[in-house]
Amino acid sequence: MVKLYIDGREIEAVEGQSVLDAALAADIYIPHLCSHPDLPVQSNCKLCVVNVEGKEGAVCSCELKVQEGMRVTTKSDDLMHRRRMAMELMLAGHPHDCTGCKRFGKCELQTLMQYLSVVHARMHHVIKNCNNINTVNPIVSREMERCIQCGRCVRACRDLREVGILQYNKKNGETYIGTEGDVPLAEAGCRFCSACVAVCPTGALTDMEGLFRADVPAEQSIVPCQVECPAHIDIPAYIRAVKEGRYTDAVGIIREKVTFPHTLGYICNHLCETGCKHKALGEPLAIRDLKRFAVENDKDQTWKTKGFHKPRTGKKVAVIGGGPCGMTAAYYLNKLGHDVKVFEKRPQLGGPMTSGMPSYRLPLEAVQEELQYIVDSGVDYECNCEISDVAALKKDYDAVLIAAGVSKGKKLPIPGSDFKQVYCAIDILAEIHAGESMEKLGKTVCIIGAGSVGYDCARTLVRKGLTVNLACLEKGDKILADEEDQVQGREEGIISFPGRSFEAIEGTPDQVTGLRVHTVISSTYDKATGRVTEVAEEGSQMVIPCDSVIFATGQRPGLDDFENFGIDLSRGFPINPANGKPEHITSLDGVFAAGDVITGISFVIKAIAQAREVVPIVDQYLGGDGQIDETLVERTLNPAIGKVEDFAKLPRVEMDLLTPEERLANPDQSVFTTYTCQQAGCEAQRCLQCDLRREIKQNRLWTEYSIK
Amino acid sequence: MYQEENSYTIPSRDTLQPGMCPVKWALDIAKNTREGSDGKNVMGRDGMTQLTQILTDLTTGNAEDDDLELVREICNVIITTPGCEISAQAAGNILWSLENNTVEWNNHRRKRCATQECYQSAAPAAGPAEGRQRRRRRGASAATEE
Repeated sequence: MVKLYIDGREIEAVEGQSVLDAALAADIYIPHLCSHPDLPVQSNCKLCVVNVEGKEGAVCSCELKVQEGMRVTTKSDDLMHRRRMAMELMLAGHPHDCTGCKRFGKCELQTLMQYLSVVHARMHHVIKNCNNINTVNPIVSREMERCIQCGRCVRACRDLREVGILQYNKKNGETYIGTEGDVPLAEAGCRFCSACVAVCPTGALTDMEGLFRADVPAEQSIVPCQVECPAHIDIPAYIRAVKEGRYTDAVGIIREKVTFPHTLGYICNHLCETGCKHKALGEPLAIRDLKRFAVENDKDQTWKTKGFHKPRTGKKVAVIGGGPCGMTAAYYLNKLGHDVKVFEKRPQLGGPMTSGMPSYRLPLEAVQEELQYIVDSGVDYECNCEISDVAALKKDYDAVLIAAGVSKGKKLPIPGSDFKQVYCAIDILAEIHAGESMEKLGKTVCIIGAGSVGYDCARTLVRKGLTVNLACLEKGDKILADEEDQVQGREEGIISFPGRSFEAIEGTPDQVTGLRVHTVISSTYDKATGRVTEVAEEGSQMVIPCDSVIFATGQRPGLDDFENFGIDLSRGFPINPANGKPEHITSLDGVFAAGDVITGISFVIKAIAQAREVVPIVDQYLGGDGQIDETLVERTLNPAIGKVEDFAKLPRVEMDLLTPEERLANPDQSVFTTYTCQQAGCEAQRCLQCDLRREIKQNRLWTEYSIK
Repeated sequence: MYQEENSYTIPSRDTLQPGMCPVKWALDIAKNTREGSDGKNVMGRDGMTQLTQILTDLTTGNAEDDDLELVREICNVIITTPGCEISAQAAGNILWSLENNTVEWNNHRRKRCATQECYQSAAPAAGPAEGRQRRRRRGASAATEE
C-alpha cells in the first residue's frame, strides 16, 4: 500500500493506482467526466486536474500514479477555474434544454454543471452540423447533439467489448462520434450490447423508449428475457454456455431456477422470447429451442453434484398434486430438509405433463426422466390417492401444500351440454394417454375453444383419423393458442371456425348431430362477472355437423366437489380469509396453496415459478430461512464479445419441422427435430448478451461522496 | 499518458508579417488547429472551436465587448493545461498576437480592420460560422443572430 495526502488527509492507496481512483476510493470527490471505472484512461476532459506538491502546474489525476508521501491538492481557485473553463467549452455546443432530455435528473453532465456552478452563458454558442449522421436504429436512441465527445462510448465499444465500431470522426473540422464511413450501426457490425448507453454520461445515448419494462427496477429490466420468464432463469448465461459448447453448464444454469428443463424445452410458452431485445432487429432468439438442445446434449450432468442439501429437520410436509408445481415444491422442500410426500390422484405423477400434453408435443420419456430425478432426490409419493379433506390430512403433517392444479373441465351452459357425447378436453386427453379407444367420439368431432388444450385435443384427434372442427369466440390475433399451433393444426387438417358463438348442441341426449353457432362481429369479456357480451352477425346461424362435442373452455380446481375440503373456498379456489383472494396462505393454519389451483389454468413455467414462490413461505413456517437460491454453475463473464459481420441481419435458426404428412404418419413423434450443434451455435450467437451490461459500473455522482 | 495528436503544424510567430491582419492570422491558426486536431482533447476540440467562433465573430463584425478578455482567458487555460501541447502552442500564438497587437484587435471590436482583410471575406471562410448564434448573456432574454 502507498500512503499519500489528499487535501491534507492521509489516505492509503494501492500501488499503481491513479490519484483519481485513490481519492474516489477514499470517498474524496474529484470532478471527472471522461473517466469510467471500466474503461482505460483517456484524460481528455481535463476536469480531474489537481496540483501536486513539487510539481509545477496542474496535472490530470486520472493518469497520475500514486506515490509514497505524495501531497495532492484537489481544490483551489485556479483548479476550479480550469474545470469551469473546460466545462464551459464542452457546453458551448450542448443543447440548453436539460428538462427535455431523457437523462434529466440522472445525467452526470448535469450534476457536474451543478457542482462547478457552470451555466451556458459566457461562451459563443457552437452549432454542430455532423452530430446526427445515420443515428436511426431500433435499439439505441442517439441524440448526438447532446454528445460532449468524452469518448466513453468509443472506449466501451473498442476496449471493453472489442467490437470497435465507434470512433472519433471529423468533418469540416467538426469532431463527432460515429462509425467508419458514417454507416448505420447495424451496417457497421454493431452487436447492440448497449455498453455505449451504459457508460454515456449525458442524454446522447439512451435506450429506445418502450424497449424495457418501466415497472421493474432498471437493473432487472435491462435483461428483458429474464424479466419476462416467470422463473427468471438466467437466460443470457445459458445461451452463452450453449454458444461455447458447455451444454451441461447451460442445463445447470437453467436448473438453478426450474426442475423440468427438458419438458420446458418442448412446451414452454416462451414469454422470454416476447421480451427478447433482438425482436427490435428482427426475430427474437429461439430461447426455448436452445433449452431443449442443451438438455439433449448434456452428457456430463455435473449440476447433479452441486446445490444445497440442508440437514433433515424432522418436519413432515404433504403435497397434494404431483404436477409441475407440486413436484417442484416437493423437490425444494426435500432439499430444505423436510420429509415430503406427494399425493397424486392420477395413476402417475406429472399432472398435465403426463396426462394432458400429447406426445407429438412432449415426449413422455422426457417428463418421466425429470420426475424420476425428483423422486430419486428423496421425495416420497403415492399415486391413485385423491385427498378429499385437507384438514384431516393436516393432522398427520406439519404443513400441507395444495398444488392440485385445475383438473376438472368446464362446460358452457348451453342446451345439450349434458348430452352423452359431450366431453371435456382434459378428460379426453387423459383417456388417450391411458390408452383408451376414442370410438365413442364417432367420426367427426367439434371442439369448442382454441387455447392450448383445445389445440392439443384437436391435433391429437386428427392424428387418430377423426375429422376435427375447432370453433371459438376469438378471431385473428385474439385466438389464445400459439400461432405455431394454429398453423400446424391447419396444415394437419383441422377445420377452424373462429369468431363463433355457441347456441346449442343439436341432437338427442344419446346422439349428438351437430353444434349450432352464429358468427360474432365483436365481443367483450367482463372479467369481474365472467360474462361475455357479443354483437352477432345477422343471418349467420349455422350447424357444424358432428358426432360429439368437446369443451376446451377452461378448467377448475374442483375442490368444491368434495363435501368438505376443510378450507375456505371461493368458486372452488382456496382463498385467504384475510382478503378473500386466492393466494398461498389458506384459511387453515399450516395449509398453503400454489400453482393453477390459485392462479387458474396456466403454463408449466408459471406453475414452477409458483412453487418457487410458495416454498420459502412453507419453509419459514416450519422454522427454516426460506432460502432456495443456489448456484449450480459459477459464472465467468468475458465482457469482450468481438465483432460479428452483419450481426443484426443474422436470421433466426429454426428447428426442422416435419411435413404435415410425416406428422400424421408418426402421431407420437415430436413435430420438430432438435438443432444440430452448428445450428444451436449459430442461433446462440445471435444473443445480444444484455446481461453483460449489468457488469458495467456506474460512476458515483458527487453528491454520494463524503468529501466533495 | 495521453497526448493530443494534430496533423497541423503551428506556424511560427514570424509568419505574421507587417501588413497582415493579426486577428485573421490568429483565426487561421485556431481554425487549422481545430481541423487538424484528433478531436479527443477538450482543448484541441472545444477550445479551438470556441476560439475559432470568437475570432470569426471578431473578423465579421459580430464581436462583443468582453470577447478579447474571453480569448485571453481561454488561451491562458489552454496554454497551461496538461497533455495539450499542440493546442497550447496555438493558443500561445493567438495570445501573443492579441498582446502584441492590442490596438488592431480592439479596432476589430469596432468593425475596423486596417488591412481590409476582414468583414468582406472572412465570414464564409470560418467553419462554425454556419448557423452561428450569438451567445446568450447572463440576464439576456434570448440569443439573437446578427
